Amino acid sequence: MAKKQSIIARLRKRWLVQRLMDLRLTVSGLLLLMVLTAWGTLFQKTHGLWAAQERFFYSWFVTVDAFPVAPGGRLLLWIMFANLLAATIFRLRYKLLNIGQILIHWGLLVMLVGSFVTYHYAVESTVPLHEGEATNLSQDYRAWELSVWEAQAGNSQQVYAFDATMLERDIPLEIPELGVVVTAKAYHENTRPAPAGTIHAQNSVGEQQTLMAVEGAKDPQRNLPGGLFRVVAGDQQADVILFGADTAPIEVTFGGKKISFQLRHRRYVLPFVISLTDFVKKEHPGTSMPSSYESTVELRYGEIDRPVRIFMNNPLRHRNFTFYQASFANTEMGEQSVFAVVENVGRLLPYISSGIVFAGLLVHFLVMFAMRRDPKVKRKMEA
Amino acid sequence: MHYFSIWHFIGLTFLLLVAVGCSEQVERRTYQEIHVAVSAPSVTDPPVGQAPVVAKSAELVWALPPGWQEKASAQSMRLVTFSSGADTDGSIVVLPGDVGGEFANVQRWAGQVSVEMSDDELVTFIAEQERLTSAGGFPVLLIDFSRAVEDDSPSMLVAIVELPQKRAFVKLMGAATVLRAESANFRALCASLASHMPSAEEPAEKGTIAWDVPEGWSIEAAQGMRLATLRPAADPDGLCTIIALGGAGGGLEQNVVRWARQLKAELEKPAEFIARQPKLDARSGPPVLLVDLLELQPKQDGPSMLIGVWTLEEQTIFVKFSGSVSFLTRNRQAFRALCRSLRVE
Repeated sequence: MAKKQSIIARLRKRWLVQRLMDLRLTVSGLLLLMVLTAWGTLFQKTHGLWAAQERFFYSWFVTVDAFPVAPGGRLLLWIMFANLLAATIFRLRYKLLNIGQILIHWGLLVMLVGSFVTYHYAVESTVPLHEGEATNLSQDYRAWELSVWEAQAGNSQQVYAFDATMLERDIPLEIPELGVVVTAKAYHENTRPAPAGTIHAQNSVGEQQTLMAVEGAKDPQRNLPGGLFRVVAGDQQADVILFGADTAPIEVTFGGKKISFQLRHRRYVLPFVISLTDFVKKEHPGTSMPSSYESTVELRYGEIDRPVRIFMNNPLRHRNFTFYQASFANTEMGEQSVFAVVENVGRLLPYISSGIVFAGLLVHFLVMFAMRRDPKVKRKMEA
Repeated sequence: MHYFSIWHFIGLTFLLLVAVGCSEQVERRTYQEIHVAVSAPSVTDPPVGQAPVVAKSAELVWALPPGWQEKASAQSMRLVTFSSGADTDGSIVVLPGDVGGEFANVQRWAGQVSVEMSDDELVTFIAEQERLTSAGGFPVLLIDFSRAVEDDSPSMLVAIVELPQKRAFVKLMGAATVLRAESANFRALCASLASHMPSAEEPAEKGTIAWDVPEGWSIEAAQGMRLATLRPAADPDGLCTIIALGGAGGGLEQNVVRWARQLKAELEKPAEFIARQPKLDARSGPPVLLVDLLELQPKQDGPSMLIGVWTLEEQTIFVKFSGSVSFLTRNRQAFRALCRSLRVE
């Protein structure tokens, strides 16, 4: 133990460690974060939430005309993490007197670790459901996939999916289970139906369909990808055009086997089947403005059926998944309830860190209070 | 003697990274998808053989401009699909509610035709668009995106028509130059929209659902997926709606469980409950299952339902009679007669 302490004491004198545990670094970091938050908030008003997050908070540097003008949120948080870690290890005195401060520092470290885990491992997706509809999948807001399956009777099917990032390369995508090979002959991340487009083919009902590539939207959520795909099954082949806005798959029959192809938002498998039993929307009297809306869903995992009500500030929590009542829509099939889904393995870390910080503040306050009341306590704790 | 220096390590790492980066790994994901879908409600096809310029659906009539033509469409949600020429695609769709409101819809359409606008610009853009009242007295907002894009870019003309408790959307898509030339015709089409009131005297079309209105009952205009709304004229404590849904309409058992829950009741054995329900012979086709939920409501003045479920080949007709228990009991005979009169003509 004595040897370890001496290593810490030696390291504490190093130039880099001195700079890292400097309190001025903490204050500068906090001020810069404040500026970044204000700047990002103003930017969000005109450019949207996603663009603001990408430019100010998820970036290493904030750039203007490709020239870095300020550290980005990611760099600042890493610097502040290093600063906090250095202060916790090298500056704090591990005495009973400082127990509150020690707890506060470790609580804040857990909070930063929590934000790291959330940024890298949390998955945000959505589940839209009509009354009576059930699914075991959620869908990404921005990422797309090429899904292929054999159309079968019943409610369950085996899906083979390729992330859309693979479609920009002219490489064959093999699905031996279905005996087909799909190659993207043309693929664009954002397309629109157009009278004179660049991608032509017939869709499944024999109508000529044409797509035109357009510039990617500022918010990728508004992109609608499209492409021309060649499907080869043995000595047969077919060209199909797939468009992100098509809600139904394109079906092609090879040797009596009906195979469905669809370009759709990337799917994530949920550890349960969720079905919407009831959706209730209340409106302000005399208007069509909703005053509240709530959903009654049923979770089915194994043999267990669990009915749950989801409404504002009352999300459904199950394992690492949280379902929020996000919005609703009117479609040709009636009212549709839309849930925002977050899967976060670190969802408890903010609660744990807040608990530790709270305990630290409380202990620190009590220690200070006790010392002021009785100087003997101070002498005992400093010993 | 050669030894393994830091430079060897960096070089090897670099080569490894290049090799990994150049390899084309195709990653495939496989998953089991479980999806219980609900069927889309069927919408009555526009009648064929009408006078060429006037068309109607179950709830709207409109006049197509000269030279415009209706087209066959595979999309059941459209009341009608039409074209002003070779390179345009038009449609009329009716959806319940306000469908998200003007702002959200215009914002979505702007994205579809790649028109980038901030929220403030969009509000100004909407305020600058023309508003008119159609022949049927419906307020209409005309949105013209053809002047917001380049000449050959894809664009659209859209109209939001305020109907009672729902919205009709009239759309014409095509190249901006074509749409600019057709904007006056599009305006005329939107201005011609009026409601179509079904009447007892009107001859039923072949393949349509028909019924006898019980004596002393009134009938109101069709709305969306509702084929009709009926009510006993002298007893206004409840109403009866006739609804058509595609396929099995969400499944009989699921529907019965849902209806019971609307009455705050839980059916322990829904299959047995359904098996107990009587079947009434319809005028044609299969019998009508009469789902009697009165036993689930203990209070005489509490809400309850009688529902006739008529399962046809491609659609299911729901005759939903709702009101207090005493109201339903008073009018039960007339309701049963209504269910028995169902037929396909």
